[in-house]
Amino acid sequence: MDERTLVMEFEADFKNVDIARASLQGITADCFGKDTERASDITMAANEAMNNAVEHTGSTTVKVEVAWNDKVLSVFVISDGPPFDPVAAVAELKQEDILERDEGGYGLYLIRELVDRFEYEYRDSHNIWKLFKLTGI
Amino acid sequence: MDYKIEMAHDVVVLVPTGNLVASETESLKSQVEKLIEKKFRCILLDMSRIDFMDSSGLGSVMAVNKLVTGAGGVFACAALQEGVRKVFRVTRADQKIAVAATQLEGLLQIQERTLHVKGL
Repeated sequence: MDERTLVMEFEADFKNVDIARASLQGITADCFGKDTERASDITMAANEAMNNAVEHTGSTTVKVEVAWNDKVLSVFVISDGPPFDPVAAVAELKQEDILERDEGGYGLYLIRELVDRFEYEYRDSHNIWKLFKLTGI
Repeated sequence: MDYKIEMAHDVVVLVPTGNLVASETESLKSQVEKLIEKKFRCILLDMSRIDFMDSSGLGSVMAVNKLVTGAGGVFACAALQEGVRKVFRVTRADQKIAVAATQLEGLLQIQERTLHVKGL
């Protein structure tokens, strides 16, 4: 399969995350076919990254770049604003703390658990979350 | 988000429909707050019509559990779809909130726990 791409850019609002997620669900269904669990995993992870961009970065817009081929599906979630605090992020990933959490703090944890690889980069005043899920399994 | 409410003896069964996500979380909390104000103390959240739930949605379920139990009540979730069940499992929320496979099992769980709370 040749690589295909989709770019979405929207005003930072949870209602727009709902629309972007619906588009992503269409793509993941195409990529993963009957493997609905892997399709759902990357959709949930991307949803968390988009929520994070809306809620925590103070960005007015969110850009989502999706690319997929017969090996991998990648979702980049890009927002402006100050850099994400990597120390807080690592602390959020401590597994032993998960049972102590109450109403929040599950987003990053879910991303890590649901994708095959993820990266975070701060470049040109932009937060960039890169999520990858293998499609050829 | 749409809701259906059913009564089974003293248990209120709340059946929301749609996606339990960041844009909708206040809606669930507000429904449960109203039930607690009206002195309902046994609440079963039937999630069979929740197609998708994110971490904000999970946070709202945790908050609702805290509200009900904090008021001396009993709370459980039932009939989770596969994706929702996975969020519960991965975050270990299923170790903090009672989860039943079906609405009927959820009702039985709540009735048993209510008897236990009452010391019967």
